[in-house]
Amino acid sequence: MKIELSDSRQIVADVQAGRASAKDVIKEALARAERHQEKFRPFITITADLARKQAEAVDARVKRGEKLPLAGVPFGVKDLLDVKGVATTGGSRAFADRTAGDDAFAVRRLVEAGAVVLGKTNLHECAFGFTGENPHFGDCKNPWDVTRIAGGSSSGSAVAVALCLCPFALGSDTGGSIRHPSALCGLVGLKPTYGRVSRTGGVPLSWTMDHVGPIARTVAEAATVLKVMAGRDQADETSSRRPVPDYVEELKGPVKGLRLGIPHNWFFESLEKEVANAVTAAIDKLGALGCKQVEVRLPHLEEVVGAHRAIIFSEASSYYQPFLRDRAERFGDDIRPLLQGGLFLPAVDYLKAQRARRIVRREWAKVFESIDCLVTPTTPLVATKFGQQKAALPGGEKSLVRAYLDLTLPFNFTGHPAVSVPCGFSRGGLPIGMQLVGRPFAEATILRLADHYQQATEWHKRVAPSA
Amino acid sequence: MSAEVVHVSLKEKDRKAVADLLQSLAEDMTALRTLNVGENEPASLYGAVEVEP
Repeated sequence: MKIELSDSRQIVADVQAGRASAKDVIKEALARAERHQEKFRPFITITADLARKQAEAVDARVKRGEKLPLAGVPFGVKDLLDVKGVATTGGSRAFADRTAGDDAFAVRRLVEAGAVVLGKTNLHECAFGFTGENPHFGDCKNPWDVTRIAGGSSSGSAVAVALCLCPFALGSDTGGSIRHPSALCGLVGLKPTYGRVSRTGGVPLSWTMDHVGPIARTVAEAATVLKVMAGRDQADETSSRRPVPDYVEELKGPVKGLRLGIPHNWFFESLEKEVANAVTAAIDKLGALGCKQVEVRLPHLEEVVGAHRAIIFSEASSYYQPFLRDRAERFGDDIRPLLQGGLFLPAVDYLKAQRARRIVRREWAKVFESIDCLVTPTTPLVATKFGQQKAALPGGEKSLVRAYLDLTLPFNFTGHPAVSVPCGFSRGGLPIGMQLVGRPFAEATILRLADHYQQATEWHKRVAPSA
Repeated sequence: MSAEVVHVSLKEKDRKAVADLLQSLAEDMTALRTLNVGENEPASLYGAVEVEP
């Protein structure tokens, strides 16, 4: 039978029913991955032997009558999360020989649920960038237009899913690194609430803002993956003890009457026209589903950008300081100064940022009292060309780092859950994403809203021409 | 501040890149640095959202 790698639910149904084996599925996934690797560079390591071994184990478990929620589903793991026995490079030659002694918590949960590790996905070096250009392992190309960036830093994870090499992949998000490539590659990307998914076994960039989450084609698949990964991990002190809802079951609830906060300050001030039109149309569609629009204003966003800078640079330099002493020359020329820069930031900036964080959370909690979900564009513009540094947007020219991440990083600073959903395409055929942001630990609400939106639209059904 | 103070040796090309970065960060942090956070607001607890407001 023909095996489709774009739909995890179909794979699970086929493997559980015996219509296909996990070994058949992984054989097809490995063949496709090898075929696309040279051109698109989605992987740093394709874990063929491990994948075959895991697939065999899944087939044996299914034969014994086990019901596995992800039976035989291949997935990509951003190469800053550990997979036992495989190098965790963090996208850097500086760590090419760092072999993991155990699986990351999230990876272990997924493998226990029947998923199979297809490979370690490429990323912007040290997850400290958004283009997916990587001087060590090759640049991740956008499957919708190979002359353009895939977004990042979870670039390879998004490229692998967009090319239908696997139905989902894991990413990490410290300023938008799951949502940004998802938006630019036409996929669903979920950054859960801070503390919802353990980071054990992940290379940190910024401990107080790092999140682990899925990139998938549909909201329903992202919900399934979150349900498997979420929960308390004794080894990660920041992981929550809250019970994990059945995110898949929760998708069936109603959305009528949900209050959507539309923050016209900041998030809608400087958008490409096509992005503005697509997101406005998506908000209208949510209105047609029975949601109510509420105009809101989020305070302190310029301060949030500064605080995010102070925290990410200080914490990254704190982690990388020993490596800057013994292997500085092995980092890329663009990344090394970023890792060094935080060493020179005054401690008072870091503390001011962490103090501001409490104030911002308190004031935003008041805004969220009047709404159930915040709706914004994920990015103000579609994927840019490789090498582009700035973008001409309404209101003036902006550096890409400000243009792309100003709409996503606020929720790393505050920890709110946020999901990016495809909501349209530019005239040139490039994907556009809408961001839905919920109250802390209200993933079920934003996933339900996003799923209802997907049921009512066709954007997620388009497949990249290169796939 | 010199590189010696932070116990890291910077090559000449990195010195310029780091100086440019710090200039850019200073611009982005202007609003934060002038934000009034009051006298007794403590620093956040390790990013945990559920035990905070």
